[in-house]
Amino acid sequence: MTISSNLEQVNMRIQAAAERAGRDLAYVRLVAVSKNRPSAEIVDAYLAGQAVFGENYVQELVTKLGEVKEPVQWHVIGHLQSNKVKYLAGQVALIHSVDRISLAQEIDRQWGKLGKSCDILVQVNISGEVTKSGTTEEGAIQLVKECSMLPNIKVKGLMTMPPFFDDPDATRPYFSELKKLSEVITDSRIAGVEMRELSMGMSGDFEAAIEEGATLVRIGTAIFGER
Amino acid sequence: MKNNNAGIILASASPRRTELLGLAGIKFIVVPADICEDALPDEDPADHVIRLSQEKADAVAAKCDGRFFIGADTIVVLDGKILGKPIDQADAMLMLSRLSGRDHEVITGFTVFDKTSGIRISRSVCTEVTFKLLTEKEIHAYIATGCPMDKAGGYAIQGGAVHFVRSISGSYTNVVGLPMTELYEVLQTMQAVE
Repeated sequence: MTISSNLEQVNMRIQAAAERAGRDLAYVRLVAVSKNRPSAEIVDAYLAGQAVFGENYVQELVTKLGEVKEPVQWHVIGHLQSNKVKYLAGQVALIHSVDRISLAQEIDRQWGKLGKSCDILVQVNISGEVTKSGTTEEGAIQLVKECSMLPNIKVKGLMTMPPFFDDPDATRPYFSELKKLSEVITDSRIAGVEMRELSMGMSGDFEAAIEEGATLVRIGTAIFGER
Repeated sequence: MKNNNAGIILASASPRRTELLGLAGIKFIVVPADICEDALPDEDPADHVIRLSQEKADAVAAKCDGRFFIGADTIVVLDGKILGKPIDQADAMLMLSRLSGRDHEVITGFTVFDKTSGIRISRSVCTEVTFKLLTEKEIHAYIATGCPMDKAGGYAIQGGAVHFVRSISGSYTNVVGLPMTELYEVLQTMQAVE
């Protein structure tokens, strides 16, 4: 299968899931997870109509920033160390993985130097698995409040990585829990904070995630294949 | 001081690179790298110089204290083929005869390795150089100076071959051995200089 036909398949499945849930397709965006894939494949996907690419590792993203000349939109979806933030300043459209205030402060500082602001999502560890990054649910509300005080940070929503199950329906409760949390935060009306993005769902479970309200689905293997 | 105590290390024995970095007002120390510079089979010239620049920066970073390690490698490319350093005078003669009256490319790859965060940024820069038609006498006279022997493509633009170059298209400092505009931009991105 080629990247372009894989993309077509994935987009059809996204559309079908949005229709089942009675949701507007304009509010479900595909983030192509391109970690460990060469820049040439990113360009292939871009030429097939894919605009947004998610990367997990700063080194890999920095290399690709130098290689991919096409105007793709980059998202950071992996765990981020504060001392690497400067390499991303002004160059990524959204950071999905903000899970602590020290990281948000460094993003604020580096984007501020450029006179820009950075859109971020707060990563929540709904399942409480120790191997996953993210704040607790109570911690997320606190972190969103603290981020709202930083002048160059714009909180746009939440992200989560549920535990892995063979059965996609098993992850549904985690998705609906994140949706509920975003509604709680919306109701608390924190100045400057929008809860319009819910980044959840990957190759194995994105349809369930869309049915539960995902606005960003992060898909790698269904587009680029197994490595 | 632009970068007092920034801990910049130039991983190159080239006096020309040392001079260029100094001209830009950058404070640094020099620690040459000793690595194998052979090209891999079918290696693209730009990939080749980037790989070697990474290996040089990494080799020095592994043995020295410091924060930012700069590695670089420069090659001459004629008809898509890499011209290395001449192995003897006859080889230098052959190289300069091939460059005579023609265009070639000079490609420098460089890497800056930030040891603290583990991030490397690499770039390659290409400059097109046009030689005038050289006489045999001119080539012999240049070889007699000994200058060609440790230079990629058998010449140095800022030395005794200064009158061989009709024109260049692109970065001048890149032909000397370090594309300073691009390097400075990367050092700024890494916040090694202001």
